[in-house]
Amino acid sequence: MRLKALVYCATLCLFHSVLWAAAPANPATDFTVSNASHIPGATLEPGSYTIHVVNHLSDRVILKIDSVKGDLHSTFIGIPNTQIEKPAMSGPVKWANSTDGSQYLKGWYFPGSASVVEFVYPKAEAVAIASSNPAKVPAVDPESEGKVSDNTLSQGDMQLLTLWLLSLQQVGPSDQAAKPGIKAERYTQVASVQKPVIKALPHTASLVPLVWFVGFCSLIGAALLRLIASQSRTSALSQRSPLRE
Amino acid sequence: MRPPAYAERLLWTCCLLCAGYCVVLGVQAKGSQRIADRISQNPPTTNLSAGVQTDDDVIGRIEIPALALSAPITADYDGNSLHKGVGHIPGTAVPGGLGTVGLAGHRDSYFRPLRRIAVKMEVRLIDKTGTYHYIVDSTEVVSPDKVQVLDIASRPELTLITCFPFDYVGAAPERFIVHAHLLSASPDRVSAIH
Repeated sequence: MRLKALVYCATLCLFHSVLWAAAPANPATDFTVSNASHIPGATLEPGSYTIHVVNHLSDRVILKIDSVKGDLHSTFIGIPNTQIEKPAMSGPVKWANSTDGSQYLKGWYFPGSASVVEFVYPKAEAVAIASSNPAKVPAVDPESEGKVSDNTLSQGDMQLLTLWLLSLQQVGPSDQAAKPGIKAERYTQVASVQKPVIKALPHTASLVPLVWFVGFCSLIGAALLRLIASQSRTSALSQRSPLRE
Repeated sequence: MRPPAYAERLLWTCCLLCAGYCVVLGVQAKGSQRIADRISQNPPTTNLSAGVQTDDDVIGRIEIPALALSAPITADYDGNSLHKGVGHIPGTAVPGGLGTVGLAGHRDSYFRPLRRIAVKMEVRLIDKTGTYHYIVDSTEVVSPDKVQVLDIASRPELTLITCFPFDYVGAAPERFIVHAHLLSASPDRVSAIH
């Protein structure tokens, strides 16, 4: 009985280690950058870095890049994308066209992974990449969801951010000439009910009409009283004048 | 002095106070309009605070050319902000942002022309990053508790909110909603792929 349990445990451990070797839960890779490259919200200057997956979620992963020197710690969102062709070796995947002379990293291929993890850029950077590359660029816009837009965005906030895809397309009303613009579409429709930003729609009736009405009535009333007073004064004067005569 | 004379003076005072209130609001609105105009005149990279008078409340401007509507956008939608312009609902997307932009305005001032709005009309939101173009998709009348009009949709949108009916004196029971969608997530024209 003991031997059976021992064999069972050994098999389990072996199987688990094989799985771990195939696709580690939180893979980490060291790499070196020879030319300045952009990642979401930061620039990697030439040097040595480590990239690792911090958290796995249903539709995204949280990635972190640390510099060996310790002067850069950048956390951002990535999405596993099976449509991106896997490179021969693990490492960075770059966007085909540079943007304003800057090279942006498209994603990262971890050894043994089923797909490339595509980087999700802040809106402004994603617009720039989409303007130069004929592809859909994953984007987030923390500022539009009431969150900070710098690198201090927490992991909790990253889990809640809405993902978008930006692409260069002809946009415009059907009856007018379309012009090139950046089309935005939601990456996935979230099935859960969205938390409302306010409890009730704003009350947008000002006091101005009431004030105008009160002011107008006061004006009419005052003018009427003045008229009555002047008429009564005139009639009193006219009554006095015959008496004097 | 006779009672009618007292009443007359009281009414004149009341009339003057009302006129003064309206003049103060008008001056306030004119000031925020001037600041909003200045936002669009500055290039996107210029720092607004450098030598230019700014109001932190005013974050941009809304324009609907077909209705000759032009109003400042303020950072909040409290009573004071709505006197200065159209209020941005915090938590909703910023102008041109990825999400739904929520703007609320007084039906008896800035958003009065909305009664004539129609589908396919162009709405422009201008802020320090540039000009964003939206196209009107639909309008609807809802109860004040229907906050789902501000939910994030499958594409970036704009929701304009004002009270309804437009001619109601006092707290109107319903809300008039305008739905529009963003044409391009980048301000103004984008150059083609090189």
